[in-house]
Amino acid sequence: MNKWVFFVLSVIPLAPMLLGVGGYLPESWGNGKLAGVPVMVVAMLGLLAWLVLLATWYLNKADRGSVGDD
Amino acid sequence: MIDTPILIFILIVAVTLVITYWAAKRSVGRADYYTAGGQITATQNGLAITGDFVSAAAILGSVALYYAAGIDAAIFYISPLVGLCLLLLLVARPLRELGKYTVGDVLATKLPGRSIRIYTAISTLILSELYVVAQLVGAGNLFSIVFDISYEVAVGIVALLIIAYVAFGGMLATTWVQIVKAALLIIGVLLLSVLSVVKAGSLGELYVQAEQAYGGSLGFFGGSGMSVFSAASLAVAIVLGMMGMPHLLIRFLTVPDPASARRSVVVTAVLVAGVLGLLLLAVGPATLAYVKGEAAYQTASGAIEGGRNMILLHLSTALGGEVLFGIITAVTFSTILAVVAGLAIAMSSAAAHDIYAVMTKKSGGASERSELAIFRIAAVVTTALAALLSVALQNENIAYLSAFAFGIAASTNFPILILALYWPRLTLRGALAGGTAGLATALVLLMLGPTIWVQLLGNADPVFPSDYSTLVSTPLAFMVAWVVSLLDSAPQRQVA
Repeated sequence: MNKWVFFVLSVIPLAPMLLGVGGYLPESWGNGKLAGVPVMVVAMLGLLAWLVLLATWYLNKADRGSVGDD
Repeated sequence: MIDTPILIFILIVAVTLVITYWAAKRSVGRADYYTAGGQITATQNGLAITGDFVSAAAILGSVALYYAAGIDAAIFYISPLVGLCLLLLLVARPLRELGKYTVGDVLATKLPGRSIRIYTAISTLILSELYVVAQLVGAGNLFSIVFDISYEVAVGIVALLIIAYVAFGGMLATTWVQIVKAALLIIGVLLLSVLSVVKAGSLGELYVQAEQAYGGSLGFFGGSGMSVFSAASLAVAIVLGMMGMPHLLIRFLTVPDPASARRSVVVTAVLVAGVLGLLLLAVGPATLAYVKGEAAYQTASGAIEGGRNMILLHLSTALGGEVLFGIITAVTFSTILAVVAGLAIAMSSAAAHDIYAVMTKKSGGASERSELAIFRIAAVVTTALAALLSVALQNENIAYLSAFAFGIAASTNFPILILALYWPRLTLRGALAGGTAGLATALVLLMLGPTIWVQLLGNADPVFPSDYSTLVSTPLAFMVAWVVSLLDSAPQRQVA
């Protein structure tokens, strides 16, 4: 596992949030609902979950010594 | 009859003072006071980092932003998790391998000479003091309203408690105060979330009510009116600032080994994501559904009673009356204590270990006893100074002050630390020049931004278009450090 791959996978979640704040996401994306919750809120929660999973995966790799951070 | 909030407040203070007494009996030497002897487990440290990082400004400020601007508040929820992933990737392991008591120790292994220690200590003191002031302003405003006491008395009580924790209990007491805070925070946010959904009948119904009060879909970004530059600069300040904030960095020196340091980051990531996720999913919408438009929580002019930082506390009253209000107030109070205690430890250890011990080295060096005396004196002086400054700055925006502290950390400590760890050609002069350039740029652009240049100084337009300058100051710090190091022909490094 290259450190740069992990780096890129870590910072990617900032992109949709910044695009959203800047008004660059399609307006229709703000209308959808999933079990009554706006899809965009679900997407933000998904990004939080993604980052936790990524960190856990990296830790497991690092503990086994199979990650390139040394 | 004592009010519930006061009773819970007294209980919290009693618990933290018992912890301090217990820790004081176990702390004897420098290692105990600075890093709890390096014997904190990964799980304990993960909880303590959560307690250290999630500040009152982060909780109250992000909920207030959700109330005003909906999903734009996600910037305060996603950025810290990105910062934790990068901490795990870039900083946790080398920091634990190289550091002993302070961030100055880490840099001194890479850059010889005492000037880097003194520089790091001064930047630690400046940005930590700024962050402490922000927390104390929040504490003073909040508790003067909640407990009907004067602002000065509220700040004084917090300052005295912090001095007791740090001067007598050191890092061990601070760690356990932070763990208690993290546990209270998780319980408090869970309670608010569950009660919000129960009151609405379902999560979907909560959103129906929230969107009615908000006046539109909560799925749209853009409510804050921030430009992309400001949003990106703020996000970068939070992400990189986490890797430059000394009170967070020294937490990695309290665990026994680098593997524990990494594990503690992941524990923190799980806890912080859980807390922030619940704030985004349920607590934020609940403030709109149950606080917005309610006459009981508004002044005659339509503003929020007690200011925007009170929105979360109003929600707790709406959901659980005086008892829940007392619990959430206690969570907020413990939050402020935990964060300020962590900052006070960082400042005191930097003053004692990186300034006093280094300055006295030529005259035979400081004894452990005298260094610890300076540590205690520094705890008193820095906390008292922050209390005085917070009285002078009591009307300032705490979210702004906090974001600025993170911006300075991202522009000074972060570039030096990353280059020292990963670029063998960094020289002492390069590090000092880069850090100074980052600090100066952050300060100058702050002065020229909308808050100071327009709102405080009364000019028509800001010279710099944003209050957040990290996108400029951090790259500049890296560039100056790089150029000066390349131009610097003198051999600097002892350890490559």
